[in-house]
Amino acid sequence: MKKKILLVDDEETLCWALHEALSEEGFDIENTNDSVKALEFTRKTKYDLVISDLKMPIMGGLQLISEIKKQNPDTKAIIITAYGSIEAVIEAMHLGVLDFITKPFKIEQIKRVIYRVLSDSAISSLNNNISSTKSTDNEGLKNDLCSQTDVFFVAKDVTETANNIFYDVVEIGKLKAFISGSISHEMDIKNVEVLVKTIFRYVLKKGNSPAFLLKEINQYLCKNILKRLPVSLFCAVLDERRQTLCYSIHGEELTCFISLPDKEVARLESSPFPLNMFPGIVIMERNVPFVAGSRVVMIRNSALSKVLKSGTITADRFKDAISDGSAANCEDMAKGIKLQIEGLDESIAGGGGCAVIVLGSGFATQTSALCEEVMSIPLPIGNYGEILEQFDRKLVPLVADDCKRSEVVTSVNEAVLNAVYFAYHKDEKGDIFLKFSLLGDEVIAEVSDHGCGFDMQTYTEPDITLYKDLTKKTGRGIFIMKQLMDRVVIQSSKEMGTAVHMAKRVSCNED
Amino acid sequence: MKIERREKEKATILSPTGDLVYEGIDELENQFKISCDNAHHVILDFAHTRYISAKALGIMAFYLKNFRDRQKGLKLIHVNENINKLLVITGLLKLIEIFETEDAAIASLGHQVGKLEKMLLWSKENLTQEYP
Repeated sequence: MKKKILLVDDEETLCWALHEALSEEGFDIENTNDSVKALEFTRKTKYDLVISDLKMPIMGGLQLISEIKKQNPDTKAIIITAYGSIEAVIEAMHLGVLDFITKPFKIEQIKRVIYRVLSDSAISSLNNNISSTKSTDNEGLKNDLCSQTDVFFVAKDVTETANNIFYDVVEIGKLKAFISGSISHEMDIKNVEVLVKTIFRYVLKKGNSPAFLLKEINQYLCKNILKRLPVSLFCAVLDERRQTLCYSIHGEELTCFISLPDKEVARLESSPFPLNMFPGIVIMERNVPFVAGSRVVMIRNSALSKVLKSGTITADRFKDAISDGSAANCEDMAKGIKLQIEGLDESIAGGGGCAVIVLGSGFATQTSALCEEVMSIPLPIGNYGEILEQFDRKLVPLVADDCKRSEVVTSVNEAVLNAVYFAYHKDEKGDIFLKFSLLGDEVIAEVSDHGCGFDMQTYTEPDITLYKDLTKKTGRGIFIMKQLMDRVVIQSSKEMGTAVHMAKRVSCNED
Repeated sequence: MKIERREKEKATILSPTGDLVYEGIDELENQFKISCDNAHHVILDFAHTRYISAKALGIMAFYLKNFRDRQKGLKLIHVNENINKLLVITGLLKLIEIFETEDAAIASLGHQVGKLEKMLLWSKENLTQEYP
C-alpha cells in the first residue's frame, strides 16, 4: 500500500517540486501551502508522514506538528527550514519530529530521510523500545531488548540509576554514528536525553568526528543545563569502508572494551573528565580497526569503574566473557557480561545499577579483503623495469583507475628503492617482500624487508621544501609516498627491519 | 634502460626508453653532466617513460638550476599524467616548462629566461602599466 505523505510549505514552487519528485517514487502525496488547511486534511485522512515548513503564516510548523500529534500520535513528522537553529531543533524533537532538513537541500537528500523515517530502522526501534520499556517497567530485573541483536544490544536493570542510560544510532551511507551516555539520577533524564540526541543528530549534518560531536554536545549542555552534574558519553563513528572505529569517551562511570576477531580484548582509552562541567574541555578521539565480527562493549557501572581504577579487580576478569566465542551475537554477549558483573561481590560493583551495551560491526566479512597479491624481490635486483611491470600487473585486478594505479605503483617503487638502498646496505643480498590487498574500497600496499632498520627517533617528517633546497637529499621518497597515498605508516626496528604500510581509496575493478 | 641522445637545432634531446626509477637514474645524471659542457639546451622526452622516481626528480631539480646558471633551459615533452602529478606535488612544475611536442619545445628556446623569470617580468610589466 502506498504511503501517504502530507506536504505543507508556503513556498509553492518547492511544494510542487517535492510533489512531483515524491509521486515518482510511488508515494501518495497531498500538498498545501496553508497550515490551517493542513490540519483540516489530517482530521479527515491519516497520513504516514507529514513534511512541514518551520516558519509559516498563521500557524508555524511546530504548532502544526503539535496539533497533528494530539490527533494522531503515530503520524511521523519531518521539518523543513531555512532557519535551522539548535533551539528550534530541540523544541521540534521534544514534539516527536524525527528529522530536520535545512534549506537549500537536494531532492535526493530528502528522499533518503523519508525512506529512513518511514522504514522500521534500528533507530526507530531503539527509540520505541526506550519509551515502551519506560512505560511498562515492572519490579525486579528485566532486560531491555533492542532489535538487530547481532548489531546492537542493551542489557540493563530497571533500577532507577540503571535507567539513566540513553543511546542513539544514525546511519549515514557507509557510516554508522553511535552515541550512548548516562547521567546522574538527580537530573531529569528525559530533558538531557532529548538534548543530547537532538544535538547529536543535528551536529552530524555538519561533521562526523566523535570529538567534534562531543565538543558541540558539551558546549550546548553547559549553556542549557544549569546544574553542573556530570554527564558521561561514549560517541563512535564506524566506517564500514575503512573498517575502522573512531571513538571518544568521557566520564569515569563508563568502562569500554573492544574485541577483535583473533585478538586479545583491549580496554578503550577514555578521559575521566565528564561532560557538562566546563564548556572548553579538550576532547580527543582515537581510531581503532573494526573488522567484521568486532564488538565494542560499554559497561555503565560507577562502582565497577572505581574498583577497576583502584586495581581491586582487573579488567582481565571480564575479558573471557567479552571474547567468549559462544556469544553468537551482541545480545548473548551483553547478557553474559551483565551476569558476570552481577556475580561480583555486592561491595565491589553491586550497588550502582548496571547496564551493558554491545555494539557489533553489522557488516559481513568482505570477501574482497581476501583479494591479495604477494611477491618477493631478491637482491641485488636484476631487471627492475620488469619488476615495475609486475607491480602494475598485480594491481590491475584490484584497481580500475589507471591513474590511481600508477600512483600506487610510484609509491610502492619508492618504498622498494628505500629498502634497496638502505635495508641491506646497498648491493648486499636479501629480500624485499610486497603485499597488495583490497580492504573495503582501499588498496593496501605493504613493503617490508628483514634488513637493519633505521632509527625512528631521528626520523623527521619530510616537507615540501625538499625539492627547493637541493642540499636535502633524504626523505624525498617518503614525501612522494605521503603525497600520493591517503595514509602511510612506517615501522622500523633493528630486529624486524622496515615495513612501509600504505593505503589509498580507489575504485575497485569489478572484474 | 637506455637514454637516446641526439641534437636538433640548438637543443639536445634526451629520450629514455623505459622508466627512470633505478637503473636509469645514473645514466640520466651522466647525460645531464655531458650536457653541462656544451651550449645546447636540453629537452627530456618522456614518450617512452611511465614512471620516474623521487631521486630522478631530485636530479632534474639540481640540473635545472645548474643549466639556468649557464643560461640554458631544461624542457620536458610527452609528459604523462602520472609524471605530471609528481611535478605538481614536488613544486617543480612552477620551474620547468612542459610541451606537447619537440617542435614546440624547440620554438620556445629563443627565450633566454626561465618560466619563473617570465612570470616575474610579466607581473612587473603589468604593475608598470597600472601604476605608470
